[in-house]
Amino acid sequence: MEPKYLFTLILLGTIIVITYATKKYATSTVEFYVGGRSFGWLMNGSAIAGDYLSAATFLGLAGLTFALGYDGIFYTFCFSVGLTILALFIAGPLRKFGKFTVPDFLAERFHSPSARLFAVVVVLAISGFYAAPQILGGAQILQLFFGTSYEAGVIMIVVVMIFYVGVGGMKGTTINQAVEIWIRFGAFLILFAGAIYAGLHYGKILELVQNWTGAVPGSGAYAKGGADIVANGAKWSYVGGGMFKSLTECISMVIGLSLGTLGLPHILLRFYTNPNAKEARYSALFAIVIASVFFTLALYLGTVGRYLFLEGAKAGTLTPVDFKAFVTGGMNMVIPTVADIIGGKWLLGIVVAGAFAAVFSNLSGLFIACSGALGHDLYTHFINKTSSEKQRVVAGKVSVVIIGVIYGILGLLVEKAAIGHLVGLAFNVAASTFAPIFLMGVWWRGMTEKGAIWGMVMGLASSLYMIFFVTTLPVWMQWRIPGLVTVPLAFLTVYIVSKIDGQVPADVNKFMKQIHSSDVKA
Amino acid sequence: MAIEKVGTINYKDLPPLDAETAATMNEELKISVILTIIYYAFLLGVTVLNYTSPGLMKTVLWGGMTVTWFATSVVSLFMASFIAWLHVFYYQKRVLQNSKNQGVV
Repeated sequence: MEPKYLFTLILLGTIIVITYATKKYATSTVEFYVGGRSFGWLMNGSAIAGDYLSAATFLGLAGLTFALGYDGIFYTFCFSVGLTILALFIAGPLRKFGKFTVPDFLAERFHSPSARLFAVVVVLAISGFYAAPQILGGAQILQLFFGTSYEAGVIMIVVVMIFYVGVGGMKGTTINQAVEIWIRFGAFLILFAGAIYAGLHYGKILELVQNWTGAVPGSGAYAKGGADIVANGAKWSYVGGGMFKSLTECISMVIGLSLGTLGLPHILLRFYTNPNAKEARYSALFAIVIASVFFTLALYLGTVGRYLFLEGAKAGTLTPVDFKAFVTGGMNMVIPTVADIIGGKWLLGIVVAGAFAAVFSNLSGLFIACSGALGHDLYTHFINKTSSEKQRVVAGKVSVVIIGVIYGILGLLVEKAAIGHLVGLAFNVAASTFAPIFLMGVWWRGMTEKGAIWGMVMGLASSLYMIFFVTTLPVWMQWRIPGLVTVPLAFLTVYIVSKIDGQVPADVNKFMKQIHSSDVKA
Repeated sequence: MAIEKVGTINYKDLPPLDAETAATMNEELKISVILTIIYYAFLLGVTVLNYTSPGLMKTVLWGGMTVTWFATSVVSLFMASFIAWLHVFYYQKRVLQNSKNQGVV
């Protein structure tokens, strides 16, 4: 059996065992949605990292570095900020709030059903835009390595997710996510060790790649049009070489991506699963350490890929399969190709399993967040307010199936879509809706219900407009991530509307005391 | 599960927070804001210097490793962990102090 099949089967077997072993725990709402709030920092920190480091991170960031050079690493640089800001301002207070879902926070902060309902819409929007590229990535991996059709790939991924989250609930999902992050991390560490053992030291390979100017010999055989690809090392190694047009676009990217993480529902939700605020803070720190090392390795491996491509082409040592993968395989093929060159089919097998682990891990978090929004926020608070505990758990499990069907349809629709827009939209909407609401809701007593709702409306509308109708904007404002405009706009709207309204919940002091109480007493 | 009806109050008429909660919030917010300013100053500094001082940012440290590549792909990621660790460190200090003040060990 080929290693890629073997390792993928081992991964699927592990998922099945963990899911069945944790099935018995998914019988109450507190177990199903927040895993009984029983996860320590090691488990939850690993699961947060698993949620955060998606397939796009595992395969895409190295691919971006390979193709775009400095612009690719700058993209990663913006991504890396978010978890830290989340740890500084939100993690501890959110755990002390201690409910089930992201809309719970707004609903209880303002005692407002309409705030809950609007938050549900935003959760579904952010998660949908974020899930679509993950499903697409997973289906493409199945196409590339196992020869399935795109449609079959989408269906397989959705079925695994429905089983994984629906049966195992938060407990099974968290343990699976924690195992999966270490599979990916292990794959990266083995690749890193292999590259260092092969003498590919960072400074040395960067020097060669930067000094490369001219055609890549032999690449024309695989490139469209038949002409050799031309590489420009100087352009590759500095900002503006492929993605960013201006300083304002770079700043907008820093703001949009860094604050976007702060509003991602599947990340926020994880802080409810710790037993106390102290564990939540340590979980965030541990996830940040994992993510930082992971990002550093991804960027190094992207550079290694570029070096192996250029040097292999020059020396004529690349196999036709690897050469073709570098030229036509797209960004997702860089890490698998590097693995194939450095460690052969065994290392490639580990990387393929790691890629699936990334897809499953990230998607399961989104499934849990959305099933909470439907099963807990909509069903329990609007459809059947007198539901029994058993009915609520069933509603959660039915929601997982509904979300699976919706995500499956979404996955089928986005096969040819501009994925960058979808990811950008998810982050920008999160940065312009939940980020201001959570930051101000946790730290400012003066925020009112109207301020929160209008802030979210303004953030959502401006994000949608600036991403989908970007060509109607002046050229200097046509940014990939329009956070520089939409985020301050959302913050200002919350502030101004709240100031004009002035009507805060009468128990806001009690709420603040609850989420900021001394950890000694807690 | 029904949302409790508590009504609203004008922000101007809202009584101040109790001293303990206000102190906890102030201390935590102060340290979080300081760390965020340091962090964003670094991030936006790298971003702006890339455009305003390309000569400096292209300075080679070793091999092909330039200042900007090192700051963006290594230092920034180390900083993410360091800033988060500092936050937890100050949190631990605060909890320890509170424990002493309240006679809890």
